[in-house]
Amino acid sequence: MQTTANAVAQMADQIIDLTPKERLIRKAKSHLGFQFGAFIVVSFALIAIFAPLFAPHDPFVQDLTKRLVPPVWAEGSNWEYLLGTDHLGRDYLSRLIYGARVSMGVGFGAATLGCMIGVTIGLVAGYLGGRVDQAASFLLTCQLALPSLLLAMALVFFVGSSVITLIVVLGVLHWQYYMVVTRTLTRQIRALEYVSAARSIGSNDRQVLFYEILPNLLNQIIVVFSLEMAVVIIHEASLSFLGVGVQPPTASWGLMIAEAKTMMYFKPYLVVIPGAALFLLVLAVNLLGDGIRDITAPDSRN
Amino acid sequence: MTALLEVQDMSVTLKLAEGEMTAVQDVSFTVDRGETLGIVGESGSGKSVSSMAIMGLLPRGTRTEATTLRLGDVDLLSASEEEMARLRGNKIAMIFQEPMTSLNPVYTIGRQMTELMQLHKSVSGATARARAVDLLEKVGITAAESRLSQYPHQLSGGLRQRVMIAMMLMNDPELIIADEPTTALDVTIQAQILNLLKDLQKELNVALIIISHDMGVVARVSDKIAVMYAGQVVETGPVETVLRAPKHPYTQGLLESIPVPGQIEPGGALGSIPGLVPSLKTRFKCCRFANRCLRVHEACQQGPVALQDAGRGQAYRCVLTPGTLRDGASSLAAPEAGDGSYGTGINMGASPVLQAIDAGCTFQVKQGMFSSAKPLRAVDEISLDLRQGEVVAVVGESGCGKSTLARMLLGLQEPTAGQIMLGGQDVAELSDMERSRKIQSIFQDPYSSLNPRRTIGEIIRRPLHLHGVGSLAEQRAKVDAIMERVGLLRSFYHNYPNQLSGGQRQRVAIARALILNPEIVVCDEPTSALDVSVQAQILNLLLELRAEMGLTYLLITHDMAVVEHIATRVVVMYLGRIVEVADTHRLFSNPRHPYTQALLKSVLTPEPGAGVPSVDLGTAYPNPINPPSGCAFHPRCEFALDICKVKAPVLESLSPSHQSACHMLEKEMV
Amino acid sequence: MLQFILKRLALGLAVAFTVSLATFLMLNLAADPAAMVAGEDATQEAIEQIRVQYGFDRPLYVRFLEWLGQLVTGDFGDSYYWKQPVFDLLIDRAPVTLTLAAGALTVTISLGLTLGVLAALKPNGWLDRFALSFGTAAQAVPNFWFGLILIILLGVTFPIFPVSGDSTWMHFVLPCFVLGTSAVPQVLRLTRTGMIEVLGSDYIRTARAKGFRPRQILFRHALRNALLPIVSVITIQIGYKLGGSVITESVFALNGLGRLAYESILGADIPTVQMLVFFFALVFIILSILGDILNAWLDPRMRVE
Repeated sequence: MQTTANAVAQMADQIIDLTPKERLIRKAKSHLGFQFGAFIVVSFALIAIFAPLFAPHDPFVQDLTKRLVPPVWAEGSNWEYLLGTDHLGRDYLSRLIYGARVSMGVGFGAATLGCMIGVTIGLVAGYLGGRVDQAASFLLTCQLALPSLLLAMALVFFVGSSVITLIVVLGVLHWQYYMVVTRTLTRQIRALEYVSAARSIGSNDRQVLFYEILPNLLNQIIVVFSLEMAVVIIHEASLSFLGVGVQPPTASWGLMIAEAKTMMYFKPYLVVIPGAALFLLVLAVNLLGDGIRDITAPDSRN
Repeated sequence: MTALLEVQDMSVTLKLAEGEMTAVQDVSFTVDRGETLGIVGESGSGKSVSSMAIMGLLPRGTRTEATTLRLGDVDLLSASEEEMARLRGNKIAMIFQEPMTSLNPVYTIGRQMTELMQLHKSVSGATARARAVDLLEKVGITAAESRLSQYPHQLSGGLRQRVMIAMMLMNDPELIIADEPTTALDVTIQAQILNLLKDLQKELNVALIIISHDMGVVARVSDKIAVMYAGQVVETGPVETVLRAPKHPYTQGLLESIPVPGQIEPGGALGSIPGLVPSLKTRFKCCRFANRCLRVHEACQQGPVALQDAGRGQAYRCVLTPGTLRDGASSLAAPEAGDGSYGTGINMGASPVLQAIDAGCTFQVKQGMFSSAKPLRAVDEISLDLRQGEVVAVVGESGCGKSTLARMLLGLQEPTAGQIMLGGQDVAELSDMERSRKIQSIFQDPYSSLNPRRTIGEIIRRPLHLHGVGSLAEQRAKVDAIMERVGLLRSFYHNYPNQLSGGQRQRVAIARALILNPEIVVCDEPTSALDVSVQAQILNLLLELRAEMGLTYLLITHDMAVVEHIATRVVVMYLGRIVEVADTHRLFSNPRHPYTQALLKSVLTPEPGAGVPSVDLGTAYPNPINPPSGCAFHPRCEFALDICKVKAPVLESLSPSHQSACHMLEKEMV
Repeated sequence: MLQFILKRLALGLAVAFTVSLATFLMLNLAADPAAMVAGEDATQEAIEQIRVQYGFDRPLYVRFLEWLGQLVTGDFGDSYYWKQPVFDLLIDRAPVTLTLAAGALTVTISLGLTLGVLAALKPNGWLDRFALSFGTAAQAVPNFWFGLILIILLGVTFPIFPVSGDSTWMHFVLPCFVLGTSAVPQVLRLTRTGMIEVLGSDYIRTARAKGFRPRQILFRHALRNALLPIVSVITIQIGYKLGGSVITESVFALNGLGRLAYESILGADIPTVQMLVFFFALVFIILSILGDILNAWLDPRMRVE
């Protein structure tokens, strides 16, 4: 039996807002930073994956007769080598394109590894609290104290430089931010009533963590992921620049800058171009991350 | 004689990302020295915005327009920012809702008070300090001199609010605006603060504006009242006239949906206002209340409605004449007379479905970074029985332990002492599955009790999924059925919580709790976070469901009016212990424990002219970490005997259905 | 308060120990120390000889305890590569790095704090947008590349500053600027967020209701609250400057600890590398303890019970 009150309540009720997905899409459409970032990142990713299709030459092939050919806008250039050649006669543009593989590969790989470590620790510490949390916080403090760039340099050099080593070392040294964010969020969410409600309808801890809490963390984790990826890309470039990262003859933008250092007063473009590529990619990743943060930020209640 | 503050046809337009929004439209009122104006309205009514507009405190980009906006001789509308700043804290004082966060945490009380005086007047530090001490004493703060060097976090909520009041009086204002001054405070402190404001008004002859959503507060304190809805004043006039003979359907509906102790038939449904408060982003073309009004006419949809004069200072905004409005019992969904029969259907002889046996819960709490953990006895030796069909209300102010008790009964918190028995079995021994089929819960905050990333359908279906009840199609059918039962449209199945209003979300929470057909439902402040007009809808629903499904309720609340309306038995808690238990009728007609008496006395019903009861409980609610010795209530009890300081009283019977824990009553105990 | 300090010190000690253990393990397990010292083309015999000579054949825990003992007594051992006591190397190179760190910190704080506060005053105003864009762009510029570009522009094309060496204060201008600006985005954002939060708080609303003008509110009421958390940020930044010195010193050819570390790594000089990693970590730990204590002392909520 329904009272008139309920019947009228039904009539007068209306939907006030959009679904979360609709809101995301609407916000994404008007967020320039997000669009720009996404466009660049996706482009670079495609270039990296399909490098052989994009690169006009094999980046490893040397031709000592054609060393240091200038790029197309300078004198003495050659349309076959759009950006000229480096000191060993290798096509600069192709090396640039293949360099994207290293940057994106190491960036993505290390960020993923760091993410898995950090999010796991953060979830467990945030949900269980108590001693587990204290132990995790202690671990975090120790990790923060270590000079990560220095240590990464040493470890990569000692173990032997390779892309895999870079991914593992950089990943293992970069989980702090994930952990902090995950832990803080998990603690906040744990105190919300829908977690208590989930437990009172019979969910066990595992179900609460994965069905209730994790979906609410994903947005923030993606934001952290993109920011960390940007950091790792720069670290890889720094390490390669210093000679303890990717080793020749593999193409890495940092390495290309190092190789160009001796000639930089005469041919500054050799230094500028790979740096500009780095700048563009990192900027795009950061904008993407910021954009995702803005788009997924909760609206205040009416 | 012109009034001190005159507001005529004020409108405030806010600039939002998506365009402009008129938060307040055609608002008019006046206040004079020695007069109290009460502005009452639900959330989104524009009451706070109006007061901020008077002070000129609205954010940049806001446009305030009015025919007149005047304080004394000063035209507030054309005043420059510099002139406005000279008035604030000087001629106009404002007291905000949250005393916790309204004081600067890094400066002493003394500094915050004296800087206000020295800002507007050139006085020496010593003079300012002397005045501060003076005012602190006037607002009833003991050891005033020593308070000057204390920091805000060292004081309780009630004390902080007194400090705020004292602070704002430093420069002898002419007008005081108090925006929800007692909403964040305990009920027993509320009466004290309101009395303080009234006394100060009399002594200093100031004009006072009290803004509140609580009709009871406004009714007791005001001389005249303005009822706001959706940004407009819909009714105004002397408080006696408006509350005894309201003309606007909204005012009538509000008054009918508030359970007034002593006037409700137990078990009867409350009058309620259907629908929701409209969003202020709507572009209103006609009467703003039309879509919820059961007396709606064609005339209501024709255009904006102006204020009509009803005589004797009363005005209201409706197309209907006083004659048409006065006839008929009420203007809205009629409150159904209860048959008082909720008392039957309860089998007091059968074994209890839920029991707490000497249950206790002690937390180890660290205060600040420097000290070691101290024990906090949230719940202390509680014994409680619930029988099938009862609605037992557990009442008490914040810090009494009722929420912890609720969590213990739900199995979410392990007791550190004693047992919780569910249907004869210890809760600790039941599996999550078994327990959750018997006892469920509805939580307080409809905004945080639903997972924002799950659809309504997923949320309601989840318990069935977890317990493996039926096939997907069968589960879906059950969800549809219960959604309809609680008054949710079927189409909400695929919507998300953020798309629903507070009342709708609470219905979802109810649906989720009931879909497994539990025996017992723990309702933790189920209506506190809802607008008044929606509260009644939810309470009615809960009563109906109880009758239909044979449910037993444990109701946790601080709202005594709700208790009298739907509870069968009441348990009063103070600092973790039970101080009184009785059948509802008996408790309200004959409360014996001094705390219960004070609590009931503090409840402000919307009785105009009744004044604010003087409840003298002395100091603030004690901190559970440092409980008083013996009877926890003794420092605030006017009847305290020597033994009360030493020995804690035990709960004993005054009659078969009435127990109390008080040394004074011991001679009457059976 | 004393109890707090003691607890904090104890924690710091535990962290220092764990860090030393982790450093030792990582560096000595990453590769065979004997092979590293012997060099690339050494024969197996040469490697074994070195292993015995330097004591690499002893069990790990023995070597760790020996190192731990060295740390505590202050005898940091001898460097294989530089053929000097590590301690001497440290003392020799430290001043350069300290100067660099101090200069960079000045840049970071003055730019970061000021921009952050100014940006927060009018959120979404033109200054705010500019500051945020500047921050995002600055974050994307690789440190070493920025240094090279500045060298090209301000050292060669317009030869204003010297580009290598560390003899005069002019030598430090570019490096301090490069190292300093790398941290500006983070400090800017933190300051801005903290400031916005404070400006939106209830007690600032109360200050407005009291009749204070915006300027007064900013300096009297808002800054004190907003800057509280910045204190610990600053102390941590100092730590990061040390770590960031590795790249800057290499690019600008400054003879500081960072360059020492870099060259030691290339020279497979485990003792020096070990020592430097631990030293940087220790500085960070000490600074964060100081930061926590300062923070607790400044915040009345922590100070008074």
